[in-house]
Amino acid sequence: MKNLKLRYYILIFILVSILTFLTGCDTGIYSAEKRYWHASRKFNMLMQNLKNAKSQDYQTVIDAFREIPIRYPSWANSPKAQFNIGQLYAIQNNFPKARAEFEVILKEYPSNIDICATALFSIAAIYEKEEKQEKAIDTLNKLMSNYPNTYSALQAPLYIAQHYKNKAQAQEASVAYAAALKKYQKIIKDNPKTLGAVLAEDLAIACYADQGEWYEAIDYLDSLVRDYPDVPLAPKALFTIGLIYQDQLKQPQNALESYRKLINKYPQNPLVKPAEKQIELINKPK
Amino acid sequence: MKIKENLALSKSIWSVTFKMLAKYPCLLLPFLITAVFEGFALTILFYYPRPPLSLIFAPPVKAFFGGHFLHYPDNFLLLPQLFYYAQVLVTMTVGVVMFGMAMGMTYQANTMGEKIKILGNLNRSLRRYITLAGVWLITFILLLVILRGPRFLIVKFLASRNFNIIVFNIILYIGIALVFLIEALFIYSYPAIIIERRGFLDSIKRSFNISRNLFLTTIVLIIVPRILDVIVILIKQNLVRLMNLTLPEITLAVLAVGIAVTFITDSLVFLATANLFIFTMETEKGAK
Repeated sequence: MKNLKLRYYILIFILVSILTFLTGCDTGIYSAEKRYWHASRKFNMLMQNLKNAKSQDYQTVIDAFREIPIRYPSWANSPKAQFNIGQLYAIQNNFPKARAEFEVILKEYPSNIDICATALFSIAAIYEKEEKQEKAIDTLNKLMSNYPNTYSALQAPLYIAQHYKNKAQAQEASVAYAAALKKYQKIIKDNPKTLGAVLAEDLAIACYADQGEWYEAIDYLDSLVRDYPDVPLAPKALFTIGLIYQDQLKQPQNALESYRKLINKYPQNPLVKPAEKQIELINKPK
Repeated sequence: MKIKENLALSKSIWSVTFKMLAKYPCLLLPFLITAVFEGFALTILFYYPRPPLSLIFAPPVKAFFGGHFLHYPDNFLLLPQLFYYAQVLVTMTVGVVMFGMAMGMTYQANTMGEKIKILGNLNRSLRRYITLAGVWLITFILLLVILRGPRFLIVKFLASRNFNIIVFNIILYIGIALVFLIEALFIYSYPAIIIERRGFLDSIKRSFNISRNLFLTTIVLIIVPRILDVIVILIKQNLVRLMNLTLPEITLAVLAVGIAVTFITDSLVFLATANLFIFTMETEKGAK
């Protein structure tokens, strides 16, 4: 009888040990991933049905995201969860609360530069929506000085210029676009081989586009093709020239010339296929 | 034998099997042990992305399938494939021994008055392991060639053709039919090895002979329970869609149900065919 009891206890001990072994040592990363995935799923469902969403629906998603930074503060995606909380308040036009949530990111995750920059950019956008122009500009300046090497900081000069344009402040807008262009051109000149230069090229063209300066844009892109023929900037510039001729200036022959130049000069470039499609589109009988 | 007689024989074999199971529920023990091992393997695989198991599983998963399968919810996409490998391993080691054990137990249950010796049958099965595993391995390789071979060829040579899906489905159904046929041809090898103590080739020959003589009865005894397995296979083929509709964890539930279904179908197929084998054996003895 004693023997049987002992066996029983040993069996229980083995089972408990196995269960502890299997579950007890989880560092929390997997559980964090699971919670984040479920919260993101709720977030996406809410975004698809924004029109019928009630404040309780928002709160459910906020609560789901809120658990993540609380339970797993050191997990890599916890700042993203916090960012989504801010976004959810911003969508509801609860700007003070949204700003407060974004500020938590700056305070709690200062080493995560990209998300801090995005949070600061979002704070600026909120100030802009609240018609607090000065604060918005200050925040964007802070973004550019504190996180100069982030995409958000790169976008900031264009954003400022667009802000003035939207407010019909023509003179300020013109100055801001000039400043933005100068900045982007400097980035391209200083580091033409980097991804930053490619992004700056897009933003520079956006500056020209916003002002309707299509010929100036083409001139600048031509200079890039001429000055940097061996870096990704050049084929991208040729493709953009083609698009401007095709869509904005309605000069299909010039567009064809630019696309063909791209195909002949850079046959291995990923833009060759889109260029061929554009050629097909131009040559298609109408 | 005519079709009606064949069907009547299947019916009476099932009747005998169910009565036997009611009298000796311990006949299910070998299949239960296999199911427990499979369940344990599934539990281990469910926890593979987390420490401490990730220490063992992460390097091979990263190397062979990709690092993203170590994260939620992608781990559930890989789970069925990993569980398939685990099932093959469990069947090759524990399962084969348990099949042999079940054959011996069924024979003892048929021999009226004799008590079923669980450990004795386990011992007998273990001693014939190589022969049993050999039969299983041949069946497994044949099934692998039938189910994977044509698909591999189609993917390689007809990848760009439009009729791919239709061809895939036709091949799937032909494959399932051939799986039943192969199982019917080899199923009596296990009782022949354990009950009649035959060697490897002799047991296969014996199995082919019985299957040929009682083809329809054998096929009916195999197909009817295996319909449940086919349903599980079809669900498994649509697991990704099911995951998107519900939750990734549904994979675990489907695989667990699969273990339970295999437990039921294997028990019915192996015990019923073992009973038919014993019936044939006794008929032959009587004729002599």
